[in-house]
Amino acid sequence: MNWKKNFKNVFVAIGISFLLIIALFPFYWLAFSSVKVLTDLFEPNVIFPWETTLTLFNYEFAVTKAYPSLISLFLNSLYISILSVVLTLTIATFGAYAVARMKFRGKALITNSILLIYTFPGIIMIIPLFVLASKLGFAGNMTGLAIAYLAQTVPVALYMMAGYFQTIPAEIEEAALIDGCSRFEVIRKITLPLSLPTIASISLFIFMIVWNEYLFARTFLLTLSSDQFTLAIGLARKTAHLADFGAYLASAMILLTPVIILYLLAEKYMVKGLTAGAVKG
Amino acid sequence: MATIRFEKVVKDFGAPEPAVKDFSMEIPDQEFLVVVGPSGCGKSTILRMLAGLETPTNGNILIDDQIVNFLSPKQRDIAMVFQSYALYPHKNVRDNLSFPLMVSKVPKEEIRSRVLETAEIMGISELLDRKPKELSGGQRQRVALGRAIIRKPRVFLMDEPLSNLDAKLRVKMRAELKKLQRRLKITTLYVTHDQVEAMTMGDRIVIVDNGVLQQVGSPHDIFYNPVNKFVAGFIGSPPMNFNNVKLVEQQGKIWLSFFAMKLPVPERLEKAILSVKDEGLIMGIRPQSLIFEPTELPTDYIIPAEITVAQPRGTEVDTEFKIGEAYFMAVFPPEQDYEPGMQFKVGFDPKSIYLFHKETGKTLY
Ligand SMILES: Nc1ncnc2c1ncn2[C@@H]1O[C@H](COP(=O)(O)OP(=O)(O)O)[C@@H](O)[C@H]1O
Ligand SMILES: [Mg+2]
Repeated sequence: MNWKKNFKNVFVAIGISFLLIIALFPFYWLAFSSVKVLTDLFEPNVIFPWETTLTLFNYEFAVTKAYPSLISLFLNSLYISILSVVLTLTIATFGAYAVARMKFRGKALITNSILLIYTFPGIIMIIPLFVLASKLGFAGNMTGLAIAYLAQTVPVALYMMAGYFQTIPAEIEEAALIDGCSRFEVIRKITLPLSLPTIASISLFIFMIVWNEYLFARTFLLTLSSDQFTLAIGLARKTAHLADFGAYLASAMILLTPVIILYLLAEKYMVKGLTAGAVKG
Repeated sequence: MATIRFEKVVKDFGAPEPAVKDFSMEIPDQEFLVVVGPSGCGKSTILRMLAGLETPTNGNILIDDQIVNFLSPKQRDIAMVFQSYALYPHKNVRDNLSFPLMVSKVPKEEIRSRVLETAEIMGISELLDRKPKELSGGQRQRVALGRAIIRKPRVFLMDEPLSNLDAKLRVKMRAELKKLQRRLKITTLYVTHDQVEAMTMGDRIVIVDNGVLQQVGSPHDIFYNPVNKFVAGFIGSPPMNFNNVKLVEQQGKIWLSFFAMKLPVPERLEKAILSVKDEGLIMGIRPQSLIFEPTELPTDYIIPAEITVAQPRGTEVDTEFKIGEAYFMAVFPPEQDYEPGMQFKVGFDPKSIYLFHKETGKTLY
């Protein structure tokens, strides 16, 4: 029966390679093209790095000429993304803990509403949120945008977090209560450290949502000057002329980089099985 | 050092029946009390209410004459060992042990020395730097116990702490736990569904069924004087034999009759059965009280029977036999071969015949 199994493995390997090539090729093309010399940019026969001269010219050009405010756009995006992650995690942690562990009146209603909001597309919420934010006076700046993002990010984060909390055996927390912790100490000393993998993946997820977000940012930051935009809208506003195409690719790479770096950092924490050995034998 | 009192404690989770009903008892200082009963009878709930993990719906729980119903676990100064051990998976053994001391802000130096001392007592000194997932079941068990004793609490609570261990280790740990408790002199409530564990470990045993306390007493007392059919059937292995019997009067004597057989009512019960109308009775006799080819019993208590199954257990043979249509389980000595189909005479030791009311299950005295 062994050859049958090998046969199957070969098929699986071929299938996976095929999918990987389809998924990764555009990224490769982007990364590669961003370091090509301009003359080879539209040359379809240049497929491998050794067939052309590699240069950082496109990057230099992007930052200095094509998008002079690229750095500040980048920092703006970083600021709003980190702020959103921190706010979301803070709110979602407590909410998720209550949903996962506490008994209270109306719990089912609240839990279901969260799920329901989760299914709303952003475009349904944008107008009411913008009107609300204007009335409360925080439309038109970064902090206001971060607060508006919470409407999208908190339900997802809370839902993921509550799901994870429910997998932590209640007895571990009860043991900590008996060892003399208050509820808050239990959360801080036991639950959160055990949730690091999930917190890492949720953070990455929220960061990616906010980093790439267009619609909310476009609406909320409309009135600001263009160097106060986020990277996503700042880049999109500038139409890419053919001559700027190299710079455009380089900026796209700059847009992608933080997400990739974060992913590599977070991956370490996303290993499963942190609760292994807690209960049973 | 603590006495514990339950006063008519009720716990209602909103199910049709409360999980614990009117539970009252007192546990003197330094006692090792075992709470035993079938799964789902409310044992854990009783323990958790004492721990402060659940609040009683009604009644009072007192530790050293102070009502603790609404105190948090932290304020009660108790330690608990869970069935699942509930070790902190992200902390190594040392940090698991020191956690309760850290939380109550014991000075660092003292924590160090107490961790070493406790590890020594529990025989886990070599494991201090390991994470729980790198330990065997038995080692996790020891760490969990160590984490409980390191605080020198007023009360120990243990919820089926040995049930995840293999049979051999379990027997060893029973003895060790008992020794440990003797040495530390800390009042202990120990929950188990295993009646053998209860009998071997408890100073006293509480038997609970369906949320109701059935009987409290020493292992000896519970074994020989069960208050009802439930206790009689729950304690003892193999379990007591039960048969529906009728009272009939013949030759100026009252007899217990079942199928085509009859046995005289034992002398000590003659008075008690006078109060019995015809609601019917259940006769109970332990497998150990059925005697193979007896030589010293009154002849009325000796009946011909036939072996149906024999299971040797080394020092004893668990034997099933039948008298007419009635089947019995007996524990016979190993010197004899018990072949299925073999005819023999069985003796019912009248000292060990119990009678229970059919309706209430209460024991007749
Ligand atoms: N938190 C709870 N919510 C609802 N019902 C519960 C809860 N805890 C226990 N019960 C119920 O109470 C009864 C007793 O449970 P438990 O004390 O765990 O029994 P045991 O430990 O003797 O097996 C069971 O019927 C169980 O389903
Ligand atoms: Mg239980």
